[in-house]
Amino acid sequence: MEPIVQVTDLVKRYGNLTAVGGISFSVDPTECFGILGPNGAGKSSTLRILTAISPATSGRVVIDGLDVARHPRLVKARLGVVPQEEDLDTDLPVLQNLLVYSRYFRMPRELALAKAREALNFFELGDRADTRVDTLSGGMKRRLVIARAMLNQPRVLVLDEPTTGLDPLGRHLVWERLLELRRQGITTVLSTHNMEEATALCQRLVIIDHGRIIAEGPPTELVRQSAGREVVEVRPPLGELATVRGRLTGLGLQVERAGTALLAYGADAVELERQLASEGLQVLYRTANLEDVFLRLTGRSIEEDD
Amino acid sequence: MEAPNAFYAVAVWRRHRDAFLRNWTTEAGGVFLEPLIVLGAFGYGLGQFVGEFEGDLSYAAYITPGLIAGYAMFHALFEGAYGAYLRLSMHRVFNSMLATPMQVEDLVLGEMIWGASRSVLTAIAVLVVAMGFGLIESPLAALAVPAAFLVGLVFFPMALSATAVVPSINSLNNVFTVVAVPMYFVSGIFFPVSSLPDWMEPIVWALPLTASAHLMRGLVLGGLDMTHLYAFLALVGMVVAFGLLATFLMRRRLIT
Repeated sequence: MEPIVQVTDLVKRYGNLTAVGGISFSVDPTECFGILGPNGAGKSSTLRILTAISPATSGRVVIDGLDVARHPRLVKARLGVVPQEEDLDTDLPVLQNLLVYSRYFRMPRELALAKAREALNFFELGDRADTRVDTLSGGMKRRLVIARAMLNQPRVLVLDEPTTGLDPLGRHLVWERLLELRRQGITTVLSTHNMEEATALCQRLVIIDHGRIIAEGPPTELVRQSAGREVVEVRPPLGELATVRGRLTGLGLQVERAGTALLAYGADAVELERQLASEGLQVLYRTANLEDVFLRLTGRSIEEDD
Repeated sequence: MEAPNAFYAVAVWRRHRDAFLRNWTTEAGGVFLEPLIVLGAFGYGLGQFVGEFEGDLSYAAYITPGLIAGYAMFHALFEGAYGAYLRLSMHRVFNSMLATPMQVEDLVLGEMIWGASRSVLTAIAVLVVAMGFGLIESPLAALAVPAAFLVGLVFFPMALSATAVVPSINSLNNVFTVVAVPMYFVSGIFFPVSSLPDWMEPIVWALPLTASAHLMRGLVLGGLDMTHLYAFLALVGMVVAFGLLATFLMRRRLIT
């Protein structure tokens, strides 16, 4: 199967700053593909180039057989874009936001009206058609931006941090709708720094750090390869951090530090937990996740600002 | 840069029209009130001291065409400065447009057509007020409306260029305090350019508002000659020059 998105050796520099340092990946039709990484890793830059909004310094992006740099209008006509910063039209009410936007895709009015109503219903905003945009909640605004991006029946839906800044309920409502779109076979590319989001939504992802890809694969496989199945999380008193770390390393375990916690990988978790707990240490044993993958690969926590 | 696409430019204009139609009542009063006050104060207040002007022309009738040009300028500048700044920075309207098949070139052209439309609206308001005072005699004065569109096309991209480069909305005040208001008072609207000191005359003739007011006077008061054609051609040239400048600066601002 031909990939619908093909990114090759993509580089983006702003003056002396290299935001994207040569990344390549491809996305297959109907796939939900994730770009996971901390703030400043180059996710937004990558997506802005992918959506023909920003030019690449070098490298190539091909979408649906079209070179993005050479055919920006044609590419943008086939994409649905959800930017990180909400950009709804506060001068217009909800339904009119969608109708005005549909003109930019040369959609005939009848079709636009049908698609707009359909999108509003799908995103549970059907009763808000005449509401002013600035009275909507954060979660509703985000769903409206996604509804707007779906109007032109895009070949690829591109979302930059779709749930950043939303409360847990708002986030889950967005996830639920995105999972429904995934079930319908809509090709999706999304960026996120939220591990849970990447795990819940993405069939395959790349982890990027400092503008480079450091891991690629389906989330569960990445976790198994880099972090194993289980993790033992120890929170010793601060003064004993180094001592406990030494003991764990002595047991042949791989240890990472995240804030005040030590994370031990590769252990017989149940046994280790019992042993450490009997010594009075605060211990938690849990299944490994993408957070552990990032920690193992970079030595840093993904939420940490470095 | 690429050539703008008229379809998308019109789509920008239609978006602005829709937004305007939802809010126009809040500014409609002022659009008529201001020329009423200015014509009253200058035309009839100051006019009493000026007496008759250039033949048998009343002072109020003398300043009417220049006022149309001046208002066309101000409304285009307001729209290109504060209006466009809000769309650019606060509401991110431009960002949302650029995620569609629209390109910066289409966006700037559509903005220019909208800014010139605002000039047309204010020109109509001044004409109506002037007619109410009995200052309009020739039906040819209706040509002031398309001329106001041209004036808007000159000034809107000047303000849009400023919008593309200013660090904050406050800097846009300079467009008015440093550029527009001084120009308003020397460009042959309230007194003939020929009454300025000799050394100032060529400088003032090079100002876009002087050409605008001169063309407007020929259309509203009659007596068109070659100088009005030159003014028209100069304005067309400025539309192209400022339009290209605004496009270049907006590209630099929006495409990073």
